Amino acid sequence: MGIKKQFLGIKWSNNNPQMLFYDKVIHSMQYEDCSRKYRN
Amino acid sequence: MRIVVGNIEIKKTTEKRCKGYYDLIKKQIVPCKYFIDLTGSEYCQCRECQAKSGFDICLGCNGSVCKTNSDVARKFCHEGHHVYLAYFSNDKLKVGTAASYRKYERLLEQGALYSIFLAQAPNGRIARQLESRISDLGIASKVNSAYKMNNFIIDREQEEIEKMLMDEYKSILQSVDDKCKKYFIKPEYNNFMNISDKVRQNLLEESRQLTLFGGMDEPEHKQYEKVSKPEGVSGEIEAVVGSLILLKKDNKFSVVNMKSLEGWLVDFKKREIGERIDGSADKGER
Repeated sequence: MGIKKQFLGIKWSNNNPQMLFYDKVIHSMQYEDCSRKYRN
Repeated sequence: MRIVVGNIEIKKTTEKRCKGYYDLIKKQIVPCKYFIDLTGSEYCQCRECQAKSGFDICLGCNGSVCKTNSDVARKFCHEGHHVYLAYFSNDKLKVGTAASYRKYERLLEQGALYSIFLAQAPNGRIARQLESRISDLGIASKVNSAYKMNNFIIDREQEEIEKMLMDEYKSILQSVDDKCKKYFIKPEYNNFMNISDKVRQNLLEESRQLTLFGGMDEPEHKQYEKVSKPEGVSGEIEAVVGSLILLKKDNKFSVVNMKSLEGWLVDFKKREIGERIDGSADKGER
């Protein structure tokens, strides 16, 4: 399901890129991982 | 190791709002208090947030005269800064500055996959002066996103790049005056090969042939679409370089400038669609 959020850019932390979104409804900053996820 | 393969889908809506500002004291992003509507504007930040960031006057500073009225910006500027020399594809070198406490994040933000820190200054103003002197020697102080998108693939081997950076360091050291030299440090070389390897794995053709002279053909670059102002983003993220993402969809590649989406309200979807085996390890090296 698509959720409408404000895109605030790609932020780098601990050498990992994350997309930062702002949800105006719940006044919350949310990070979404851009890098590959690994599972053993 | 299994990779969890995922697709992202981002659709830009028709609404752009102020993206807020970075609080230099708290070192965190603060959303715009009034969520100012900037749809139709070329800006992604309202005047109030631009002023609150403290940096609006400081962009383009060369260290000669401090023009800011912001106590916040002045306090930040009084912190230690490093000067770096970065390598970009097709042998483009760029000089820049970074607040010491976040110098590696700065390199990653810039998409500077290969670089050296060559000077350390007690404050931002001296760092800017050093940057300006080095730029006067003919080294670029800016590399725009168009260049980065058009030259996304780095062909050169990392040993050659390191040598190029070190040679340039020696040349700079010989050319600057003693006032600048005292801030120079033993160069600290950095590479983010885990990122550049991902770009090469995706965008360089695997098959190479021996030439008549016994060498190998240069690997060919795969085609990729350059999307500087995306209306939407769809596909699997293969690599992230600065604010540029390398996407793969239906075996086609695109490099998308995510900076131009900042401030826009978007529909965002992310889903894991399966797993595949990965034979290579993610080095995660700095």
